[in-house]
Amino acid sequence: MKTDEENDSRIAGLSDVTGRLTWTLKGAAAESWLCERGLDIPFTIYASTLPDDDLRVTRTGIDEFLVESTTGDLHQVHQELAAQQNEPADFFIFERQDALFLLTGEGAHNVMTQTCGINWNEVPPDHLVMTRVAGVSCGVRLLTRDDSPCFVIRLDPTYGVYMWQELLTICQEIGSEAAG
Amino acid sequence: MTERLAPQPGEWIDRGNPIRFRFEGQSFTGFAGDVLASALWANGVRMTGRSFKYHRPRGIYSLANHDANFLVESATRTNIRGDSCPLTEDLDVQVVNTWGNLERDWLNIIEKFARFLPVGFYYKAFHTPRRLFPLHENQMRKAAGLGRVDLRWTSRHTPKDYAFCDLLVVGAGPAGLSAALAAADQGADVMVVDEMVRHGGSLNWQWAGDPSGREQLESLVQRTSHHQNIRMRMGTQAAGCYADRWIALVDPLRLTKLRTKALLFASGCIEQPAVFQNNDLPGVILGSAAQRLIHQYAVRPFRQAVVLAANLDGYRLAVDLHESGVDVRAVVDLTAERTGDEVAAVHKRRIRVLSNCGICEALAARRKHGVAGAKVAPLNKIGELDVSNSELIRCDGIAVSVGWAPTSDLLYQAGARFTYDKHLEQLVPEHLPNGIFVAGRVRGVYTLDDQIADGAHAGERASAHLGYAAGDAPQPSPSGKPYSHPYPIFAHKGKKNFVDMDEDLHLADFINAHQEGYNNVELLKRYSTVGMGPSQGKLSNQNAIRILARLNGATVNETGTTTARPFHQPVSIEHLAGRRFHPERRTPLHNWHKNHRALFTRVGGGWLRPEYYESDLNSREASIVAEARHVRSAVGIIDLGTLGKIHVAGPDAAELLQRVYTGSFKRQRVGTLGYGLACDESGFVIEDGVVARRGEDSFYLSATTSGSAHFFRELQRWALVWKLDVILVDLTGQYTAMNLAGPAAREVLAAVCGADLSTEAFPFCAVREADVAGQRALIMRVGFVGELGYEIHLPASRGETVWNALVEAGRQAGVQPFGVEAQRLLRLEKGFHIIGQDTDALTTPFHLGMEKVTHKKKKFFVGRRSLQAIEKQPLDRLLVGIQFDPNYSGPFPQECCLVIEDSEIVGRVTSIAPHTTLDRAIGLAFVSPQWSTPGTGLKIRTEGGAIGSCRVAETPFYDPDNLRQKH
Repeated sequence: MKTDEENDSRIAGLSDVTGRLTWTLKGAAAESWLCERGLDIPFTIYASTLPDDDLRVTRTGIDEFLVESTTGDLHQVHQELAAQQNEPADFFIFERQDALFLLTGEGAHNVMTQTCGINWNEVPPDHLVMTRVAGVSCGVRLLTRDDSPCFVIRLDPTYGVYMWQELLTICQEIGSEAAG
Repeated sequence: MTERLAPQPGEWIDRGNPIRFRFEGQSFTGFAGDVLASALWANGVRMTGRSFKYHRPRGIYSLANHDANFLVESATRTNIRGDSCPLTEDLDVQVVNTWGNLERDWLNIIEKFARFLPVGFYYKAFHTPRRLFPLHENQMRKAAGLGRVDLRWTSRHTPKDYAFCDLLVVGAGPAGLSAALAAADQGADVMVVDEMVRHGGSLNWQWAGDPSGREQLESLVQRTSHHQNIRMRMGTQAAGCYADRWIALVDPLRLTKLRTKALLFASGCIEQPAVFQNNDLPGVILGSAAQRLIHQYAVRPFRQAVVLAANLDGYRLAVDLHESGVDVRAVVDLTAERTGDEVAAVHKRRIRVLSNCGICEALAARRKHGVAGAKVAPLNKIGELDVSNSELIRCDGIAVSVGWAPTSDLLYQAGARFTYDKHLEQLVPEHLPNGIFVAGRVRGVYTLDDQIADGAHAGERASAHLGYAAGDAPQPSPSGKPYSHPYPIFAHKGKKNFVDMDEDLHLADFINAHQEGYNNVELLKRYSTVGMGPSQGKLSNQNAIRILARLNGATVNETGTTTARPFHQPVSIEHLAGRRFHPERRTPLHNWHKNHRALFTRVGGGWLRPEYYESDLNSREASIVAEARHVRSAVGIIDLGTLGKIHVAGPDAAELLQRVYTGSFKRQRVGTLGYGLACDESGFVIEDGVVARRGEDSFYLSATTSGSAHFFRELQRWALVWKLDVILVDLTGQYTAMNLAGPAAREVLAAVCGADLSTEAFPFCAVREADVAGQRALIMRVGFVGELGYEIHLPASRGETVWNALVEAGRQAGVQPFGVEAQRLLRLEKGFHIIGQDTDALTTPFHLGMEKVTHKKKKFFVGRRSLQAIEKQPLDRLLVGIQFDPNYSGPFPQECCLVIEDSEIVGRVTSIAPHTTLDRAIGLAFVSPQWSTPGTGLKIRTEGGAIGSCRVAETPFYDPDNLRQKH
């Protein structure tokens, strides 16, 4: 099964995929909660694993994880997270409301160099990078699919409109477009 | 184009693309690929600008982007350099720094008063009579400066970007390209930048007349252009070198912030002038400029020329001139004997060579608009010209090739140190920091083959430094002979022998300055302003140091050099400003507000909040007061999405809050709210908010809109410092919140919430978790606006559902949204302060009268020790309420206006509201304690200077017993 990132091979484009189910699990019990469900979890911070085709688990801290759908489909683990009512003191979960944009295609690197100071050549594949894009704190992941770059930009939803407008302006300046 | 030559091998112009342009109101034609200077020269225009001080005619001098006397401006830009400005179809420019026009510049009269305007004259003149100084200053300012700023010009938002590489090579000449290839072959990721628009550097002009030079150029360009590890950025200057190898790259479109692991300078040298009488006339140019004209732009520099030479480059130049059809009348060589292939080539063409001679004067053509001849004289034993034996050689141009100075600006900025090599008569790098490499002429390697070999060697060293394989390219030695004359400076009684053409400084200025005691290189620079013009001394510093060294009777090394700061070439402000990012935050309910006629205001943290909602009242103030009255009388709803929202949990959660806040939270009962006030270590208030205890080990904090991000970082920091077992999550953007407030709030909430909202079950300062409109939410009974109120917090994506449900449920009760201004007014009526508005960086809890929430019995909280010390000091100010007489009609102050007593400042207004739901205007102000007693009259100076009057009042102004929020 191909993820959205894999499907998107346009020359350059900006897509809004806000709404993909993502949960943060935080606390000493987070790791065991994931392991109990047989999920392969990453060892190093900001690394990620793909336990299923439509699920990515990223370690964002010693005892903090991001569990996200890569396709927008509801995964079994998300159902369990949603049903997890109690929040013991050593475990806090919440469904993230982040804005999520995909910046794809050959022009994507150009847009990122105008907004972000990261040297993507030195970032390990699929690593999450906590950085600033257009002056806003973001988590960015560079995926490479079919030799085409795809930046997945996750940010506080309250900056979503601002970020969309800034990225779209730069995309349009270099002859790219919103890709829906 | 009378001076255009037949096509030259490798020329840069596109003869199939003629371009019309305008200069000083006249139309000309050039070709695409021309720069303004070459196109004008091709059309026979020699005078292209006026000098800075004396307004003397000037022409092309370096043709290498250093011609500070050839600055032009268009309808939208100023101080464009004519020797690098590309020719475009719409180009229409005039020269700067003229009064009248280029042909007739009335300020040229200044030259007649030159003897009264010696170096530093403005330090000495105009002091008396003092009353005339403003007049003098005004006139001086008008006369000084170049170009004009038209405030009607609009700014372009140029992009900025970031780039990275293993190795940055500065200079795309033979050494630079060779170095790039050597490093890239080993696997390094190499970027090459050069301010010229084409690869090749000196191969494009100095070696372009030599077929082997052209072959070398073709080969190097071919290999670098197709090398997968090399990125070429032509037309890009490395403008500045900063810490950690952060390089500012500037091209016509953008500024790039480049981070490189290693730097290799193959930036070459800048040809230097000779100093003789009238050495600034249009038609006296550097030899390299003449070669650029011939080979790059196919323009004949002169009809008849004299070449002043001090190296073999001058002979090569003479051959190039001869081959382009120029009648080379003589090569005047400053040395007695010279041999070599270039010398033989000159003799072969029967060009006259005058050895051991110099030029003492360029003879001016009519009105000094050109050259009419060169006066040549033999040199005596001490290197001075014997003018009694001078000979006049008629010519219309003098090409000077007497030496070079390294392009050293960025090397200085990178931390390199230079020393003067007496053998080379040139400054060369003496010490290079780790990771910095040099190649080519910048280190004294002059022959073409040696430059290429030197580049290869340096490139391999750089790649080895980066961890790639080391090559075995040999390192050639610097040139065996000096390519620079040790003192190409010849005094003349005429005193128009210019050392610095940017600033119109001639030799006598240096002698005078030295006589006045300015014998230190840094002092001399500042006193004479040498090297402080637009070209920043690129054509003057080396000669200036030589002059000072000779005047001091010292060596160049003993005399020292000045340093170089960014930028290498001028960088426009629009590049520095670049694209501007101003992050803006919107709450999840932004569109709802927009659809309901909200007018937004930008508040702390970059948030957009509804200031108020447009109504039929036609006045901002009336709308705000109406919103506030509605809250008081019925029910209102406000978006609190901007509030800081922080989850704190874990075994040490209560301990963390106990230490961070001044109050006590360890014993706070589950299901209740507390007021949290936080200080820094100095005891100054930094934050406040509501603390909700959701469980034994679980809290939910609200924090101020503008301060929450900082406060969250503080919580994280303290948790780490104290090694506390807590979970901290900033939910500010993930959650949203709203406040339903007013007498009918309970009734409206009850319609969509199944929880028991009775006062007994859900009293004031309680927190409950319940479903609101089917969404799980945290509900807090608070009273910030002084009415019955419920703050509802829930995940952001569900906010609009709940908001709409409340608005719908409150339709009968008349629920209306209110904006941040109405909220500010309502809280002011309750006498509540706002952190950041009613406090400053030096406000303690004592200043706010909040001793009650400062639990001194606690063993520790952040700032406690400081507050204990502060408490022993007399209080210097207090935040008090102020009110105006209900019938007051005097001048009304604004926030920040000063409280004045006996001409002394005794306080400052922090909040004020001229229109309220009460019968009077009210505010908060800091005042000295002796003025803080209720009833005390205060005088406040308003913005216009008039004095307003009010009285200190008890707070709260409204509902002093807090009955309305508790019922």
